[in-house]
Amino acid sequence: MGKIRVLLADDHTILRQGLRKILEADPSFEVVGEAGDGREAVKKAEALKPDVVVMDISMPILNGIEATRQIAKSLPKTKILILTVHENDQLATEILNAGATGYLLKDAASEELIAAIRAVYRGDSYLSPSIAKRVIPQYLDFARGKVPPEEKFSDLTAREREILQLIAEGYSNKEIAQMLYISEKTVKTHRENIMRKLDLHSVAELVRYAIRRGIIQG
Amino acid sequence: MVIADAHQLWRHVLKCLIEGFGSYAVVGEASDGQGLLERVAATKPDVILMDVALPALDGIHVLRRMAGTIPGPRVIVLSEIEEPEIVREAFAAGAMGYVSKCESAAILRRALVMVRRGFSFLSPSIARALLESLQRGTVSRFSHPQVPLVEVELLKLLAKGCSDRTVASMLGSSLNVVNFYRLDILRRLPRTVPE
Repeated sequence: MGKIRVLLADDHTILRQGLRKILEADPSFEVVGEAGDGREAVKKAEALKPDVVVMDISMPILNGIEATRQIAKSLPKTKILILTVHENDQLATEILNAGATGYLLKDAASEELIAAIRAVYRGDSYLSPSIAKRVIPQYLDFARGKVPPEEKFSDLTAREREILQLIAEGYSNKEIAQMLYISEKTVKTHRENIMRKLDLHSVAELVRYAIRRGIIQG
Repeated sequence: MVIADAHQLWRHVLKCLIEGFGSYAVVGEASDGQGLLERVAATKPDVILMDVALPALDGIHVLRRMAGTIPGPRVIVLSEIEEPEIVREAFAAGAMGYVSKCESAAILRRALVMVRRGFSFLSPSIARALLESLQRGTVSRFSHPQVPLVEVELLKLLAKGCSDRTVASMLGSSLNVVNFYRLDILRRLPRTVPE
């Protein structure tokens, strides 16, 4: 059997370099690339087609949730393991919905990381115990037919969610247009649609919303 | 060395990297501030690498508690927090280096070398954050003397990732002078950052 090819996506370079060292000490892993933000993660995943992407949630430019959604869509064979400090069941549910099959907290030991990568690679799911404890009751509620009310957030398109993060990070329409290779007018239209769909009326409200949803860090 | 970080994976990664540098041995690890004080008392390390965001007792308080020990261990803060106010607090409480978690292992290694030799250290992205706060004018010109031009130049070079040696030669001064300027900038940072 060949090596498990891993892409590491985290904005903390030291952590990425250390994880690479730990994983490469085990002959069953090969770290094929690293990414420092979500956009780079999507690009590198598409170019390298890794078996597993180990992904942080809080990353600049494009967060781990959107990057997961995009990678899961374009590379159905690539497994995504979330590695985060966020012990938050809503975030976990959302990102599992987006296509991740593992959710591991950074408080884990490196042996647990290795076990989690192997599990998602095999096609199994892996959840940190403290996250499973929070997610399972939600699932049971769902299974019993108590479905939570539909969130307005899911009305947004992938592009709108991407632009929402960039606005919240303080980029201007012009800068966003340049980053996404679209016109400033298109950015403006997206911005208006985001505000309308989420019923927000100022950038300050939008930033607060983005922090509450875990799209950016407060 | 003693390492303190709330997250086990970070501690593993740091231990692995630092021991890989050679010439360092990690003699203790702690996941919170209280544990860190205990490990330090038990192992008397030369250098401490710690996050400021620690449960039980936050990093700034830990630094203040250790400030009385002579000869105290030399402390480098490694954190994702880049707020100038926290950086200032950390140095005022006795830290000698401050490195952002977004930096590379090479920068961390540089910080260890410098601090071990008795110099202070700021990683490029921390220098960048300080520079931005100076440029935004959050450092009040009324309550603090204006930062001399040479110190702004120094921050710019550090923000670009230049080593102390390079900065010293570009400014036509010595490592000691670079070190003095850096500490002087930190001294001039405001106590509270106004909104």
